[in-house]
Amino acid sequence: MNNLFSAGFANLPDYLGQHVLVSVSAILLGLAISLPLAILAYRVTWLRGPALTVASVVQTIPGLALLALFYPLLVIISAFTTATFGFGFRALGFLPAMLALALYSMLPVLRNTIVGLTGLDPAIIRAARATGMTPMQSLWLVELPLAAPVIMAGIRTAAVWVIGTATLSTPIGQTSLGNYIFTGLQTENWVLVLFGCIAAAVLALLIDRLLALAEDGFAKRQLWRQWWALAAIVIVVGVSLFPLFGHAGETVTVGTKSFDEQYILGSLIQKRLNAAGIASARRDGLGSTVAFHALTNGDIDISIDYTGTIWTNEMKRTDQPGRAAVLAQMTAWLGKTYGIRVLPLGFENAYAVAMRRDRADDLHIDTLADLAAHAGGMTIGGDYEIFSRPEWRAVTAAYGFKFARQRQYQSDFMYRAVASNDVDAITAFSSDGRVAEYNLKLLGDPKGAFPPYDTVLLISAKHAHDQKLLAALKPLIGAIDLKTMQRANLMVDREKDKRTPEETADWLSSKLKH
Amino acid sequence: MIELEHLSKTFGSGVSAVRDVSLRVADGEFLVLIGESGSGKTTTLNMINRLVEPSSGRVLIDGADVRSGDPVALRRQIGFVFQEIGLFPHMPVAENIAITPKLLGWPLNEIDARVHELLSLVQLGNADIASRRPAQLSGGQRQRVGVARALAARPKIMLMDEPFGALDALIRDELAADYRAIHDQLGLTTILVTHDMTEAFLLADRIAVMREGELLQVATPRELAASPADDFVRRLIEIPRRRAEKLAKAMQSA
Repeated sequence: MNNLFSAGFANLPDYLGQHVLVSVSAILLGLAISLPLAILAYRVTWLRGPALTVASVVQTIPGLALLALFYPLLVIISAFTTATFGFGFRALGFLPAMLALALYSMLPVLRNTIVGLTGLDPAIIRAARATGMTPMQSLWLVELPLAAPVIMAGIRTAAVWVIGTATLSTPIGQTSLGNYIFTGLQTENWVLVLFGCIAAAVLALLIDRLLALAEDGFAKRQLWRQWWALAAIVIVVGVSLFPLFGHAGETVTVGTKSFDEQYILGSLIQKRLNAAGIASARRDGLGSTVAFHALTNGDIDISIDYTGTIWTNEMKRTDQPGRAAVLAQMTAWLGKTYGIRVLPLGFENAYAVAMRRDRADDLHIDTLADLAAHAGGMTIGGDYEIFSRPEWRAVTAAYGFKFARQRQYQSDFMYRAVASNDVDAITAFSSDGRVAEYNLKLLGDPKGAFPPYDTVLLISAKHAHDQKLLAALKPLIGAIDLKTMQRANLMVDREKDKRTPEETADWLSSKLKH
Repeated sequence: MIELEHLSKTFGSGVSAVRDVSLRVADGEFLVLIGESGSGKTTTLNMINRLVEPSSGRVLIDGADVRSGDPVALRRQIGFVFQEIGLFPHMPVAENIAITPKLLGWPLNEIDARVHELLSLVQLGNADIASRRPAQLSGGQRQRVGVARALAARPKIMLMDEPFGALDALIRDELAADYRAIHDQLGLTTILVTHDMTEAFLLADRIAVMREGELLQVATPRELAASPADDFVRRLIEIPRRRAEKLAKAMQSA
């Protein structure tokens, strides 16, 4: 327990700084857009309806989806600017997170500003005109100061929303306090999840209280309160951002997808890079295709992927020439198409259908072909991706599956679901330690419908010939076997004597075959 | 001199608020514009400093059409007092009074001197009122500040829209009398809108009676009492007289 906590605290300066950076930037950008828009809508009456409607619609999009949508959008825009103006930009991380959060912050500011301004006593506005103020002077000297408390209340709501929602920017590659939550969720490390939630809540509450002080200052028209609040906010933000300075210089970014094995291997890679004196950063918890596109786009430099995933999803292949051929052809294709270098780690983490061993034995199910006969009355569980992936379509076509129900789980809940008979079968990962822990049976695939899934490191074109980097990673090539990886994964997943991915990476490092 | 020539106003909703009003107000004159609510008197007043633009007709001040210049510059030359007073709640009294001179870019020391001069003119000079917020003043004090604010930039013309209508009777009479004294002292030209005939008789040099957007009669209080133009005007001017008689009777029996 103690080491879990200290692991949490070790990352706090980085996570908190990044979280504050993206939140504050988003709030400032949001204000820069929504305040003028609200003032325009106050003057131009017909604009009010459309502006508020659009902002409301944005608000109904779940935060995670809004953040995720900005990645492909920016990829398209970046491709366009590259083609047209000759420059692109990073479509992952800070930019999409900041833009999505800025959009998210707009509704309360828009609504409160419009309500605050339209709710003013008309006699006072008439008096402003009669004393000889221009419309602009009336706005700055009378209307905005009088509406300020209501506007501040809107800004306060927006700030709390943005700080809370910023935890969801982790999957699109922006480090935030959400890294605790997502990593914790994947590794079933509830201490870490709680740690992330509490940290985000404390930050949100702190900013909320300080803005409340400013709001109070506006309402009571006490300038010192406003200045005090502003100064305090500047101090909080400044202190949070402080650890981010000094990160300058060339860094190699390691991207990981959102499951334990990726975290462990990501940590292992980072340790090797650091040992070789190469500065590195992490982008954790990326979506599967997001990670690959981030690599081809140059947003990350190293990712951990699986041959079958690239084979079916990127190369769009449906044939299955065998493990070695898939690896060879994929390596050639990635090199030719994207300039990516492939370093195989030596083990396979395949998709495989798993059942409780006792249940499978009772029903005499050993292979997917046996399962097909029972599928009509069964529920199958899978992770978020599998049912929409081409591999699954190939498998269902090959064996003629028709399951009664499908359920999707966070991958670690999936194993519990089958162990507790909530579902009859799951699409497990062969290197997952929980296959053994829960005594699950991996069903055979006699028709070879699932492609092979050799675990490989993908090195971006930029570093494909970086000898220092390649030398640092060389000891990992072909050095990890399936049993070792299963044990490593279990160390992170298990309930008792739980280890952090970092600790496990050290253990794994000591077990390398060379 | 203020001249209204065939002034009409029809609002967007098709309501004809003011119809063909022509009127001359001499320099130094105190004209009271009287009528029931909806008679168009406030709209007429608002067209003089272009808070409302006329549909047809024109307003001349010293021979110049008010619409030939900038409305903002025009309003800075004309004092305006409202029934709702409309003090800026976020500014202390001194800042409220200083607003028009500040907009005109007066030097700060001059503004300061003017504020104190005005506070004593409206008889708030001895209280420590300059630094208070409007919310900390009584109704009467607030309207005194309202008058001071309107006078700040030394206007020649004062427009007053039922300025004392919302005040207690006692304060109202006192304030009305005080304002009339200021009017005379500064040689102002005042147009005051009211629906109270007693107030009109007490303050006005001349009274202009409006009904349903039209100007019925313009006359001194004495002429008006002697020869009302029609039944409506007659009934209107009888109100203060009847009141006075009733009051006298009630006082006697008491």
